[in-house]
Amino acid sequence: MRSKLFAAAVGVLLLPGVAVQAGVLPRIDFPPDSPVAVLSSDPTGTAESPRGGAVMVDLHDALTLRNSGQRRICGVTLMVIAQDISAGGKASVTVPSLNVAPGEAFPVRVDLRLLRPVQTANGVVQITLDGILFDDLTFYGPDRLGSRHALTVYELEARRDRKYFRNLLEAGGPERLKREMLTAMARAADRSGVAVQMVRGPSTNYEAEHELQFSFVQLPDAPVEPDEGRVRVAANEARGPRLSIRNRSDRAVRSVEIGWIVQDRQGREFLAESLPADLNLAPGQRREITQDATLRFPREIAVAGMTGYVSSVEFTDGHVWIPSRAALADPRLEKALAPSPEQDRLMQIYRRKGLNALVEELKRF
Amino acid sequence: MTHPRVSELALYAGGDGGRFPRWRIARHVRKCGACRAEVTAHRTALDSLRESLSAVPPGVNWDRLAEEMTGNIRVGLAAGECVGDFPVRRRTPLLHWNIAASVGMLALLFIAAFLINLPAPQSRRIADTFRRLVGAQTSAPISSISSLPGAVLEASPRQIELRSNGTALSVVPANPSDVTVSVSLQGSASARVVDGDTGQVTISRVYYAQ
Repeated sequence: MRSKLFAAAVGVLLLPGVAVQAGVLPRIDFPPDSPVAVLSSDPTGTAESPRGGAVMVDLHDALTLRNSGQRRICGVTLMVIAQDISAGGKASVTVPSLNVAPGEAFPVRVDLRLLRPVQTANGVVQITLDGILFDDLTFYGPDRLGSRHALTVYELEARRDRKYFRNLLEAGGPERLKREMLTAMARAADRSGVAVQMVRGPSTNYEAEHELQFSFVQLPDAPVEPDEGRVRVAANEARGPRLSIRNRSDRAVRSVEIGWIVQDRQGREFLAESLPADLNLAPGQRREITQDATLRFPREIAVAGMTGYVSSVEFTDGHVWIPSRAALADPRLEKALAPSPEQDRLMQIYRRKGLNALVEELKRF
Repeated sequence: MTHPRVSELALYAGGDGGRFPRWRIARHVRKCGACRAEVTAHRTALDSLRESLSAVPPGVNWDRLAEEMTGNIRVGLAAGECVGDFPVRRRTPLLHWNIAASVGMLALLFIAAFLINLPAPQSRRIADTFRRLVGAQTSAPISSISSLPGAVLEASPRQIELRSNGTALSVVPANPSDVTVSVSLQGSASARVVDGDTGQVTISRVYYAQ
């Protein structure tokens, strides 16, 4: 009897939610036919604290999900809705580059910070499933946040990059792979992240603006071709980009994503944004994309040039095109582009566990 | 004794005049023979006059006279229609049309003012939706940004954040040096981190309302 009481007391003390206010705990709500099931949820660290006239909610949830379906999972996106707290804002957590067999479990961490006025009633934070991508590139989920396209692009990039590194390994052995890893890591270290703000509509900056022409990196195998682009520039702001795009393939294109590299007057380059657009472009057809948005960079960055490139294309039949490794070897792209999530993951394995672990990882797929 | 005037006696004989004068004259006539004789004379004259008026004058055909009068009235009405607005038409339906026209014009004015003041992307979207409804191909440039007025989306290695009306939704990476951030002009900011121990990649995003 005494041992049972002791166990109950220890259990109560170890319950993660005890120290957390119940009002801020997220509600996990997966569809009944979901191919992943929630094994556990640990909201340790979730807390509310006053900040002047506002309340800050640090939301943390370490979820463990299990693949309860019949196919391997390559990627998953969870949607976090905090309607009452964040004025209609949404968040998502995506885990790409997975290789989860049926019955296996995998972790997903949700870490968000919400700031709301004190007067606002406690809003419920809901975590739900937006999509799952399987190894045959089929998709499950409501796809409210465009997860199907994003997860497919991540998976195609992962396959492309793993194939590239496997080819290097086969052609030049572990030493060749090591050299490539060191080069990629040095490039990543040289790349500087830049803060950028995006606001919708006209700017409040009244400095004189001028129009700047885009230059484009032409990718020979890209199904679409951007042939003209303009943006209005005033000091550290770029406004209302307009691009003209032609479908040069024999298939109808549903959407296009254009990567956007910004050059400043010192010659530095930053991969700042992507400009996705739903086009529904028939073969041979040309359309113009425009965005009523203003991008604001730090004051020390005076925008001097813009370079665009096609980063992904989705056809109406659901197939997705991404640039090849050869195309990405263009010096302008190589310098500014961030590595794919999969290359990031492989570099981390090399950095933490060494070359042998990397070789084993490449053989696992 | 003061006698009533002849005119007062005539009114009394015919049953006219006020209640008090009639009571006063009746009282006097009962006592005064001369005045009583005057009243009797007036009443006799009235009776003979009524008798003479009640008989139809010789040679007058009332039926014929009535038909002529009806005919004359109809001729007068027809002549009135020729020269003026007679009989007077009901103006109420015309007034209703005026009200409807005024309301319609006001509605058009409001719609025009609304469309003129609408931001360009929204008006383009409405036009595209209308074109799609009628089955026409959209020719306007495509603008896919979502809207949350007054919102600022920020991405930096320190954090990604959506701020709007005193609220904020942010992702704060544990180690800013290992994070890759980007902004999508469709209305989202992302932060990518790789877990040092497991190597797992996690991409967190905050969105404008979609």
